[in-house]
Amino acid sequence: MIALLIGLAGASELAPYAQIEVDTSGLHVAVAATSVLSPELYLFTGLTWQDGLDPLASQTGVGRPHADVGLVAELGALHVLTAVGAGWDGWESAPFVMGRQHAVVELPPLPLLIENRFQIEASLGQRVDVENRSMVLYRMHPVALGVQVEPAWTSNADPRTPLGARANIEAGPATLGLFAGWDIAQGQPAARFTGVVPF
Amino acid sequence: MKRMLLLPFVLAACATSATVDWGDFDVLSRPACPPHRALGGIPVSEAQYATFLHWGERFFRQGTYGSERSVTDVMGVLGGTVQVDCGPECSEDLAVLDVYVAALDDLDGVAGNLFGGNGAGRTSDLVLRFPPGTTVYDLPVPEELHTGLDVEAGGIWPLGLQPVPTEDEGDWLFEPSSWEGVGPGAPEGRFRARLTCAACHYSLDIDNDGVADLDSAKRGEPTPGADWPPSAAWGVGNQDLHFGWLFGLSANPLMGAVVLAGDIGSDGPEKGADATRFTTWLENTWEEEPDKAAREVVRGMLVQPRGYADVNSDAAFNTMQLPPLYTRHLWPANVNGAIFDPVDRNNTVWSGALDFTGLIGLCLQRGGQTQVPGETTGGHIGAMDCEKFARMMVAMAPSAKDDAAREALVTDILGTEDGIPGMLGPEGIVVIPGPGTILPEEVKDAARAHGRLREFEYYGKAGESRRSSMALLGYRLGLPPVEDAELGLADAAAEVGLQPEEMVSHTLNLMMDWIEPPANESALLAASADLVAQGAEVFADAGCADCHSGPFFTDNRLIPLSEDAELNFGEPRVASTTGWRTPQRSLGPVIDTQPERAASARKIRRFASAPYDPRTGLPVGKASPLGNLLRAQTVGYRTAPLRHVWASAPYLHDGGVGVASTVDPGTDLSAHLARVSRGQAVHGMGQILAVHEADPTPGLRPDAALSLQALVLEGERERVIAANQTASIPVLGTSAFRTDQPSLVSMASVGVGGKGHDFYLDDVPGGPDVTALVAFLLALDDCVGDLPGRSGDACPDEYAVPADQGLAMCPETPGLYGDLSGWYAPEAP
Repeated sequence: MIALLIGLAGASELAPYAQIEVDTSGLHVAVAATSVLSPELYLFTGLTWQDGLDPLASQTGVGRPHADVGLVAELGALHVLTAVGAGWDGWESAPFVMGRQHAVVELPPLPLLIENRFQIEASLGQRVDVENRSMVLYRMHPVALGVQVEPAWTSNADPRTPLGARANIEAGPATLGLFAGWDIAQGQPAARFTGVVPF
Repeated sequence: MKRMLLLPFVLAACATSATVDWGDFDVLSRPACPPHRALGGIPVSEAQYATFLHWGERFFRQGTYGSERSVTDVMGVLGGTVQVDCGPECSEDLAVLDVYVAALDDLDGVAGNLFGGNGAGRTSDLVLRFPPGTTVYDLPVPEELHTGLDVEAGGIWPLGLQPVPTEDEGDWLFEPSSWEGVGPGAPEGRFRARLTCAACHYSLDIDNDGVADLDSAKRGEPTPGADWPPSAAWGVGNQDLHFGWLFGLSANPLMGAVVLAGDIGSDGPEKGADATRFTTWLENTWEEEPDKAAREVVRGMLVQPRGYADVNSDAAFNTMQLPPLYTRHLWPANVNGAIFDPVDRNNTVWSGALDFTGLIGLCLQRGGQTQVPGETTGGHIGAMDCEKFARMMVAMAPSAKDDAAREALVTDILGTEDGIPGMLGPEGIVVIPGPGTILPEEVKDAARAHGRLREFEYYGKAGESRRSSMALLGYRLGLPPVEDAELGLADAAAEVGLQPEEMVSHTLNLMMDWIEPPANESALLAASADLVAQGAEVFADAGCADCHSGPFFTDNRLIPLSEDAELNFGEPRVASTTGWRTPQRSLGPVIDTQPERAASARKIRRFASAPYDPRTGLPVGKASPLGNLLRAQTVGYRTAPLRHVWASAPYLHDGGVGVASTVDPGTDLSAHLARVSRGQAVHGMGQILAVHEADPTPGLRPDAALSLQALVLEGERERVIAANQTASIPVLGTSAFRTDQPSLVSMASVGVGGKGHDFYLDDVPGGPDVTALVAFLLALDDCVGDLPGRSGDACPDEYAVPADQGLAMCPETPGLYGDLSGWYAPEAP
């Protein structure tokens, strides 16, 4: 997989990493890499496996592999990832396409980091999912504390809006994130663990 | 939600880090781009260019703006008194000036002819000879004190100390006709002396071998038989000047207390807190016990290593090598990027370095009021009450003969009457009251009453971008009346279309951009000439050219200081959970060199520096606290240009990588480089200077070839870094501030670590790759392709070319010859 990523990236400066997310609905594992195209632009390539409970529609299914490719633009303090991808939706038994944009703004004079993830997925002929995760972190070493909100909507299920507190822990180059809160729309607890490990 | 969150940042974040694409520019066959025949970016005629070059040379060498008042009346340069042992329980005072005058007269070995040409005596290191047992503040003074001051043939003033005639009276003024025992013919009258740029940046010793190579640094006065023209002296840097003794032997060392002294031996995370404790002690001591305070300050000054200058006004030891000065196609204007514009750099040097009284802008009620998240507040000067600070600076001033004179000096420094902080001549200075500057209302009111207020907009397009970086100490150089009357500066500015109050700086920049580094004519390079082309390939293959690119060997980027976020940003940080985000990694690997110099400018970088385009040096946004808050302002160091490395060892911005040879280098470069494995070399500047100070004529000096090898071979660098960590600098006397101060301190503790820039060749000392690379680096001078002992001329003798021709010669860099018309123009009426 790594070799494939290197091949896709095709550049000398490569930054591969693995990301794992576990929440009340299941497991989400991604391996990705970025490589420099120009001083402000990186190529992003990723492979993802998602398993367990459909977080939006409470459907179960096994496997939701997909690959995506995109660009990372570094615009001063603002970093934006824009990616598109395609895969197989094991929940809907149909192919799906996805588009997403992540944006991060860090404010060097202030101990604040703002992250926003906006994502649209469409299982072809089945449904459309829209999710937006936003968080603001106040950073101390080696932890950061903040708030996070995740409004989401899907075309064949109720929306959900987990709202809660988040803690990030930096362990060397790796970062672990713990989110705990309450899903306002669903009326139930919400939690998520996220880990990012560069390699 | 997404749009609301991102839109402001998308609009604000527009900085660029693209660099000039030099393509296949072959430095071995093409000359470096000549200077643009322009002033402030505006093309001028050949005659105008020659005139402005002459003016720039004059201002650089002779100074202006009236700094002679602080240097003579307050500091009392060369005005100190030492005590000479005259037997048991006996000591006599001896004026340092008398020793200085005798040393001058002795330059030709003949007494009594000082004013009659002095037998054309010259030196690059004036030696003051004191009787045995001489002390200053009970600290021992060497019998032969090597000052590092340069004196031209027949001169009576060292380079960088410019006499200014005065009608004033006072025993602290210089009066050559009263100098005894040095013969007739003295110039009549009294003089003040001002410190000028030439003190640090001129030297008659072009190749840094400890011997003066030129009689004169004046244009039109070539030295017969010399390898270099007089202008070769202009940018080489005074590599053996001893700032500590220059200030320590002045009448009033307290004036430089917070710049050149501090808690000796303090290092590591407590350095800042120790500096604050030192300034607090000083503040509580000088009034009741001025000699005790002065002694502590002089002890610190004498720790400053020869050839280094600590210009950080932080009461800590953060020194760096006196740098060579080749500014063409080099930006931002200083090494840590705090100031991108060379005009503003000149302003800062003149207002804060050539006149320390200007540092009043940093005291508690002024700059000390600026509080920034993530940055320490108060501390150092920022913790000192402004009036107390001013009073301390004049406590031992030789001109403060009575209370009235003392009060006048304090008022002058505070600027509450003339509207100008510091002691520069108020007629030639203006203040800028805009947001981000640090002036109290009473100073602004006084400046307004005298017509000395300027808004950013007064400086036209350039002013709108530079803003608070135009007046980091609250005030700014204007039009000096004496020089304007003599030269017609304002008329010339109007003719060219420039802001008249910036003419001095523009001509200085023209002069500095004009200077070419001197040619390396050494036998070692001549014998290694065949290796140079191969070395260029090693340079490229090793990736050096990725940053040190083009004919000036720099991409003009700021390289991030460290992966340690606290060093970079002043606060700890935690990464996001977004794996792809590695901020500013495109700016190249971190440099990891000595952090103090970059950290000292961090606050300015974060809030007062404009973002700039590395291709042109011009800003791509306004310098403003709010704007900078929304940008990623790199904290780090500018990629160093490499022309002149052949004579400017030691290396890195701190001057921390130095290796000396204990035997003659000979002409076999590989064998010379391999001698480090045979015990024929001294690693580390502290160790080199220790040997040098014991026998300074000409003394042990860092060897360029061996030092360059230590820069690129990891094993050699480790030896240098280890040596820099070893205590090697003697500390005189015991401390009244902290009794457990060490008697020896390391170079690392004074800010000279030699670490970082960890890019290494896989080779051994004297190996084929490193030998070729060093040969290439030794060839980087005014014309790389012209090698000693080879025929042909790879570079034409053009020193300045019209804009259109210049564009043809260096099409790769439109920034060098870009249209700056209107950039420095005055505000339209």
